[in-house]
Amino acid sequence: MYTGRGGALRSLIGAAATLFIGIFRGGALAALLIAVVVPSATATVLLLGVEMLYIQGSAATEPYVERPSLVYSEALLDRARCVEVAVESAAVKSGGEVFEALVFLVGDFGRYAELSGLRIASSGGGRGSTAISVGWLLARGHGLEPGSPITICFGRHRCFSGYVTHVHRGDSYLGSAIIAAVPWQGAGVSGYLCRAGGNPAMESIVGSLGASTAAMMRLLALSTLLAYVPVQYLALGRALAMLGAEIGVLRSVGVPIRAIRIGFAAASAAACLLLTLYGVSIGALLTHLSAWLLRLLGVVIVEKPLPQPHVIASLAVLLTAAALAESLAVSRRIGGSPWGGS
Amino acid sequence: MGWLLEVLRCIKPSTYAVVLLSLALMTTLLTANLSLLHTLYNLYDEIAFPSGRSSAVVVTGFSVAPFTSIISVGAVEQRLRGAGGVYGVVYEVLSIASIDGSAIVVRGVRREGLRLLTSYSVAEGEDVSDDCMYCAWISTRLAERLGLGVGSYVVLHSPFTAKPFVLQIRGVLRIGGPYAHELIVPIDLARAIRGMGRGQVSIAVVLLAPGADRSLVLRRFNVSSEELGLFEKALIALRARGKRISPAVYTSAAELFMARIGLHRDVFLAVTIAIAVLTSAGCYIVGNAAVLLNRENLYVLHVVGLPKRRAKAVLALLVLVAVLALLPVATQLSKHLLSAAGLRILGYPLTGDVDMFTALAVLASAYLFTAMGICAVDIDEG
Repeated sequence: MYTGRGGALRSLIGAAATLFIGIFRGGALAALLIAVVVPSATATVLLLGVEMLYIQGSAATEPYVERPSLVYSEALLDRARCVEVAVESAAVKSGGEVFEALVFLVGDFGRYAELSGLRIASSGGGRGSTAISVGWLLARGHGLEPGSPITICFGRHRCFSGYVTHVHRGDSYLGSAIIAAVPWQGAGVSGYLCRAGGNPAMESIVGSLGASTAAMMRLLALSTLLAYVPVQYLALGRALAMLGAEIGVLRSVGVPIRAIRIGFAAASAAACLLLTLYGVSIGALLTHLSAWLLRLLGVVIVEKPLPQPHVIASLAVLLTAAALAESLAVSRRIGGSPWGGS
Repeated sequence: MGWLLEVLRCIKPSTYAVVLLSLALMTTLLTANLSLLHTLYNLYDEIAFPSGRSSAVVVTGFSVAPFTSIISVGAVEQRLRGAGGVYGVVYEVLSIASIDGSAIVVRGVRREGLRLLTSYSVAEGEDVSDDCMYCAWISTRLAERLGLGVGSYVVLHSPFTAKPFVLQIRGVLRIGGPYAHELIVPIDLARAIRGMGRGQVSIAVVLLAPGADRSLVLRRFNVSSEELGLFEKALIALRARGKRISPAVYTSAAELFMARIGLHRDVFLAVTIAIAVLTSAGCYIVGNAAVLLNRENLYVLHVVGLPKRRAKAVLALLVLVAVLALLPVATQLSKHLLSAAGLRILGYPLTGDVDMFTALAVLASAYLFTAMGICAVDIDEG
């Protein structure tokens, strides 16, 4: 018989240790193995698998990500590699024709041409100082050439007139645009066209795809864990039923029912923690085994990561917390029928 | 049959609650998981094949990844010249791009082609045009999500050309299917974004006339329809070998991409079944509980002469009824769950439409493990 505060603590520790050993020695372990190891291993496979795929995808796209590219930036990134540009749709009048075109308004035409690699097809005939370059598709479609008079209007009241000074080449987008060295005060897009060391579009697409897939796998992992919450509760009930002999011995030596209940909850939580870690290891092993099998099929997985500490910690905390709460609920059966609820 | 009623009478009401609740949660979440994987597997098909039209054959290039295929319009036209049963051919340029750091799909298609693929109406602004080389159209849903309207400008960065494109939204469309989550642009502008030359496209959608035999089209590409099931999709991949073009037929784009890295399409099926089996293993415990909750009552029946096997057979029958009743519940709940989760990939919502195979695989697996759990526990177990 345990008495006093120290005695109560000793009886609690004794009960927890006895039941913990009982879980691992008896048939109670089988139910907990299914209820804890299966979800933790499945969640690990899902999370580790997607990480492996992300690393593989990033490695494959790395050469493209590192390629220099042109980007629009609202802020000035680097004065030497940026040029101020504004872009707006405008009504263009020339030779009695009116048509719409996208106009790039640049402060310095020469610097813009140099930075963007603009290829000039023909130039000359500029009677004024304002450089106006027309895309070759526009020039061909509307009969424009260097020296042709042109009026560009943004809305009704913001117009400027000049002469075409250049015709530039380019794809259907640039070939249909006008580049003019005119100050801008309009409503389109304004900022800086900059030459970047990498390809942020590729980087953001790879990142966005990675984030979407990771979010999906986190949901899959979480839903697997959630699906096992009632299973874990039933498994703990089964474990309690299997620990009948141990509980009987504890009661016969005078351990209070309250201490046995708390001891059962502590033992179950500790067992679940260990089984979660075991499940994570199994999951990692299965993922690496799959990567090895893929190698046999000719698919080489560049890097095979191990579960991150935060993944292990999250799984351990979630499953152990669930086990603690559920075992406290299940432990109320101690003192009555194991499946009777009293 | 008196024994059947006796067993049913002695089963505690809590058993129904425990079994139904556990199986409902397990099957719903497992269905959601598998349908999510299924949706991801079929994503490119959803983009490439016209929604709501079953009679179409898609011709694409033999590429290793989505959005990288290139085919020649001339090569497709040459093969289809004089082919019977073809209602129309729609050429499309599909590209992936980035707007404000988010990935989005850009579809380049002619107005006539878009009208053949889907029905839409203009909610605001202008109708789709083929000539404006800086114009884009979006759906009402995308306009709302991105906070854009007619006249708005978007800066789009293309990974294929490494240069930015400033586009103006010219119209907001009432349009459904995959088009509701994409930027629709004239095909020539899409070629510039994708970095393609004139005469090149990503895919050609061959629309068949009602009642037309698709094998006529497949034969034009020297592929046999025998390799495809009656209800399977037909995706023809063209591979250029020197001056020759060798075609191959696949049932989905994912199968093509998997084949490019040396994996058979059944690998995905095997993964799906493995996940279903692994995850539903927990139903074994539910089966155990179904017996243990009623152990005392069943033991009494056994003592008065009821064989243990019969008592367990009744429990297994009850679980079967529960599992069958859960089929529509699990599919509907999983749909709502995924819709509430709001997951997106490339801007497309992952709704997780459940196919019959997935639903049946989940329920069969769940039932099998529950029945095994019922059989594994002895009625007089202490």
